[in-house]
Amino acid sequence: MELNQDILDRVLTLSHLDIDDEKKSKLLPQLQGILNTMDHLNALELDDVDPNEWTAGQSTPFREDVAVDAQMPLTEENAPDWTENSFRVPQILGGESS
Amino acid sequence: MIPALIKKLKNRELKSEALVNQTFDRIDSKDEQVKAFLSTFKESALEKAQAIDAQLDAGDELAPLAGIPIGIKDNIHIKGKVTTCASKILQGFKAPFNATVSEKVESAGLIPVGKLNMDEFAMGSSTERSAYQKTTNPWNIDYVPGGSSGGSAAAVAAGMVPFSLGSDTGGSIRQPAAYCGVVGLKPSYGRVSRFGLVAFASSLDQIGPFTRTVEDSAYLLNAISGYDPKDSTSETQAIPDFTKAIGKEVSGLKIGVPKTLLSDKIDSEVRDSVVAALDILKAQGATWEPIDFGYFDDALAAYYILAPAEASANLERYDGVRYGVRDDASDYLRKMISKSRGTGFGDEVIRRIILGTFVLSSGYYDAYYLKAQKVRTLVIQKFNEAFSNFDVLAMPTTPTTAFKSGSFSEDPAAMYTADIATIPVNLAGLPGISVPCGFSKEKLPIGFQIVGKRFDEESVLQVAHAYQTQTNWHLEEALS
Repeated sequence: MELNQDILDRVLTLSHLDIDDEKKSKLLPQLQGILNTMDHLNALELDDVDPNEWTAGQSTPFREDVAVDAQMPLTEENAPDWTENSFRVPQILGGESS
Repeated sequence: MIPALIKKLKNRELKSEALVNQTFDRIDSKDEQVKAFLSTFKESALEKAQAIDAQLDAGDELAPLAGIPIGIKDNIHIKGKVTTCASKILQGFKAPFNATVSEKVESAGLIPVGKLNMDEFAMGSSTERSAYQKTTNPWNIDYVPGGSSGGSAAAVAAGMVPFSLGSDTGGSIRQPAAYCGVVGLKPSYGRVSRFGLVAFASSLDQIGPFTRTVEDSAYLLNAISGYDPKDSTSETQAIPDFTKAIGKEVSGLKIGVPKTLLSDKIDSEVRDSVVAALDILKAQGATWEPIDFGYFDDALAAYYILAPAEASANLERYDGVRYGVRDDASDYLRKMISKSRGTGFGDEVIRRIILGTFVLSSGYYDAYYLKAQKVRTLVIQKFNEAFSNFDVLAMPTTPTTAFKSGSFSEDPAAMYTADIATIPVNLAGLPGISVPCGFSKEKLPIGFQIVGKRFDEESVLQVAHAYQTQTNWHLEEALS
């Protein structure tokens, strides 16, 4: 699998990561190297292998639909910008898509 | 060690306050070199110790481990204390709740003395990826302690704390335990609650103890195990008293040893020490034989698809909106989020997020993620097959001893092979323990790993302890 700058840029957008060009140019060959080490998986016979063995037998645990006090203090203290009981953020609309 | 400490505290030969003060004296004298701790809390630790001393002086019956100090890896929440996961993006973040494990530590009367350094978000095998400091190997400070729980391993190896908690996703307890010459136990997946453990890869993460002895490991496992309704992957398996496995004989037990991990893939000194360890168990009546167990390289590749995939989802929450460090220079929300993440995360975390996002993305999912899930199935089936003939499996914990700091700065992914023997155990959700079994010519520790069936920590502890009764490797202390 050949990685290129276009694929990397697309994945960076999906990951919500903004990094400079120097970092991108360092990353590309490193990621390519990692992907190359996975090529030997292509030699395995996997057509009849169930991908869900790990989750087989597991089920979603349920509880009563009763509200529980989450008791989560420190919301304000940890917030980067807290005002009027809200997290203040820059405007959503406008600007180039990143 | 724990039984002796419990006895001394109970008969008041030793006071908890004195023990905590001793701990901080050792931290003061050794941690400048080792750099294991990211933060310490002397005041709250002494308050807890004084309260426990008052109760013990009054003759109150307390939990068995009451009054003993412990270090906690900095990805486990202690309410009101800072959790950074060794990342800039969580600088100054105060945990709003206790991890279940922290609640259990408190119920057991253990006294947390500080948070321990790690690779950022548990991604790494050397603790060089911490955004704050590099922990050194107490046996030789030019070498790494391993990772990601390097601080937890080093603090115990240097005698700063009697034990600590770490987390293990692909080997992050067992590998640093081997590198630092201490005991490191990864319980079965689901044995210990992950609530309050900052998630890296949710189907692989487990919390476990670092100790000097296998017996101490059993005590701690008793304290931290158990079903937790707040962790939907927590198992309802009954918790035996793991200390009852200590002292059981191993006569008649059958041990399988993967041939690949006795080959020249493994450093010859490591291999020789592990074979010597197996022969010690043989002298006690166990039998061992090499077995065919392929898939180690495949498991490694599968892990580096699955773990980053899960991490890419788990780390989406770090966006600078509600907590963590924010890039204030952006005028628009989307840019703010991307910039905060781009500057707040270190290189290895960024590398893994990109990898994980890529393997889950349209057009690549089948070729990578689906394939890796199938490989995981093959690994699980291989273990099941092995355990139909053997009671436990044994192997080197790591292919080499600790490496020099900076060895992989040019090729960071080459470090991934350090976990070749530990990763398959996580993929199958099995318990595994690393036990010190010797030193290299350069006086660097060597560890061997014992792996059991899922939820059979008892056999793992039984075999590991039997080995320790015949050897003294675990009694040596770095920087003594």
